[in-house]
Amino acid sequence: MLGASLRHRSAARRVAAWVLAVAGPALVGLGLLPFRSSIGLAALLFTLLLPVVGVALIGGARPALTAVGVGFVTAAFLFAPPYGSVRIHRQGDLVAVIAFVVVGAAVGILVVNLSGLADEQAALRRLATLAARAASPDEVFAAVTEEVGTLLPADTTRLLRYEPDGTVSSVAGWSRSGAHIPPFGDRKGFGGKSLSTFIWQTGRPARVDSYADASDPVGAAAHEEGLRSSVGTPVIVEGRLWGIVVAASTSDRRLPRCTEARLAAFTVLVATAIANAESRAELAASRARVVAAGDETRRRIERDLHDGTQQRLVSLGLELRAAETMVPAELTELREQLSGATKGLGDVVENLQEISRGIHPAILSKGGLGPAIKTLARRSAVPVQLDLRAERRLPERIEVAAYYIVSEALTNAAKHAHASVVHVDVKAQDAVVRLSIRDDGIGGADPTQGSGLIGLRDRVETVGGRMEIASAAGTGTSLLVTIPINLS
Amino acid sequence: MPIRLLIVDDNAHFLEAARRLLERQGMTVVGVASTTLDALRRAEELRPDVTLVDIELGHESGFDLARRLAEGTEAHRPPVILISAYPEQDLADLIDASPAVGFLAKSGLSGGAIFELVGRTDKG
Ligand SMILES: Nc1ncnc2c1ncn2[C@@H]1O[C@H](COP(=O)(O)OP(=O)(O)O)[C@@H](O)[C@H]1O
Ligand SMILES: [Mg+2]
Repeated sequence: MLGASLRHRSAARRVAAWVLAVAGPALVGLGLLPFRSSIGLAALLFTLLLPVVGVALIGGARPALTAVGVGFVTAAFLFAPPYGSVRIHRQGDLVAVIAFVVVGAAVGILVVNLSGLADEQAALRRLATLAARAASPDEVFAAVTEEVGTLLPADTTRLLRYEPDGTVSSVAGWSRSGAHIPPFGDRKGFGGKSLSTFIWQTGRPARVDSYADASDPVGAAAHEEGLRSSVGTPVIVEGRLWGIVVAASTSDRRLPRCTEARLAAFTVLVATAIANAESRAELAASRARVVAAGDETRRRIERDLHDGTQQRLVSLGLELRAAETMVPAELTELREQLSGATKGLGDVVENLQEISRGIHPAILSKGGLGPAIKTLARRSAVPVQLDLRAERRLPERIEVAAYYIVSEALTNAAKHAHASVVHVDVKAQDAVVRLSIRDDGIGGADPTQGSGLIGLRDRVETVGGRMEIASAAGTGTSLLVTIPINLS
Repeated sequence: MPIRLLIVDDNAHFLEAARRLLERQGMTVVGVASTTLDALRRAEELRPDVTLVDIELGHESGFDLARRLAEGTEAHRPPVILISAYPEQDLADLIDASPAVGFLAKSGLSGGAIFELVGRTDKG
């Protein structure tokens, strides 16, 4: 059960452990030598457990057992008569020293196991926290390959995903040397002698000791990269085989037998992270679809109203006015009636324009964000100080989001703030749109008390942006929004 | 002398209604067009005094057409009046940025309004 002792350690740490394993017990022995007559062998043996535990903590089982050996020699040489020889005369001394060897070895191995277990638990806890925090799956994948690589005596670790086209792709990787990581997203076929194939066929952990006779592209690539002893375990997400976690060594050292079991603990976490991320991504995507579908419908309704109804009404108005000009002067009543109808029609047209504008602002699709925000500023009931740096056209979703944010903020300033001025800054020059809308009103805006601000937050998040509201009572209200532009 | 008009709009109903009304009000509609290309050709051959350009010509933009007409040919650069079923305030910034001499809401179209816009530019 040296399982946990297989935890990997850095080279410096290994050297330190070996030095301590040899020098530690010897120094303890030499240090206590002046007190030999007063303290006796038993006290020395007891003290010698100290370097054993220390070495076990830093260096693992083998250095710890070595420390026990060195301790044995030290005790026999310096503290058990005849001095200066490993021979031990007194039977009591012999029993004490043998007891030390047995207890020392047991303590050392216990410490190694516990500390390995603690490391593994710590790693699992870190990953679980990462997965639970809404970290992106890529982040979790990278962390898992690294933690697994650090814990196991592997030279490289990979996370591969089974793709619908019958290949596997590399989604994360780690290597001890920093090299040897295939490009992510790279797809390779499988079906021959490779972990991908074995696990695909059995759904269970698998092991390969050499890729020398690999017969499929994944295996061939592994051989080319110098991978030898390799262990893989399946990642099962909600009942389906999603991919595999692979740990491999590039030396001729065979990965220990417990590797499969230790990998499995991490694989479960990977699967959970993937399931979480998938449902989060699905939720975000569906929210974005709902918003986009809503916007698209509004745009279409506005277009239909404008191109169809509105145009037709306008033409009818012109026809009525043309008819009016043909009415003989003496038919005043008819003329007045026609003129009344024309006027009524005009009102309907205006009404419809008002409705259309609320559904979707024409200037946004025709002129983009700059002119649209200028129009909002001009129409605002509270005077607006505008700093606008947004010349280019942006993806429609972003233009629409930015427009509604400024629109809602200006409406709020007029409706709730008792403000005397609103500062609106819009910058869309780099890879992000930055909006800042600040009023000098009474403050105290609370998104939970209405539908406007909360809707804006939804909107901002569906385009991957962030919104902050600062609105302490008495200090006015500011809305700060950043939206990344580089999403399609 | 009556003002000679070219009307560019992609809506047949509107072209018909506008022509009837404006002619009643003493203008001469020398031609109509419903695409950018058609409009440029007509303007070249008919040499109208004023061209009315709808801001939306299906997939084409009336702003673009106004710009091309204003660049015009050496010989002929007729003033452009933009028209739309949208009210002016909805598109004010874009209208201001265009080389057109003015804007008329379609519902407020009249010979008098055109005369006023063109007369104003003649003076200034
Ligand atoms: N600029 C502001 N200044 C002061 N109070 C505000 C401001 N904006 C919003 N509020 C307060 O926060 C609440 C929530 O705002 P909002 O979500 O826009 O909902 P609504 O405007 O529909 O009431 C408002 O009811 C109002 O009391
Ligand atoms: Mg509001």
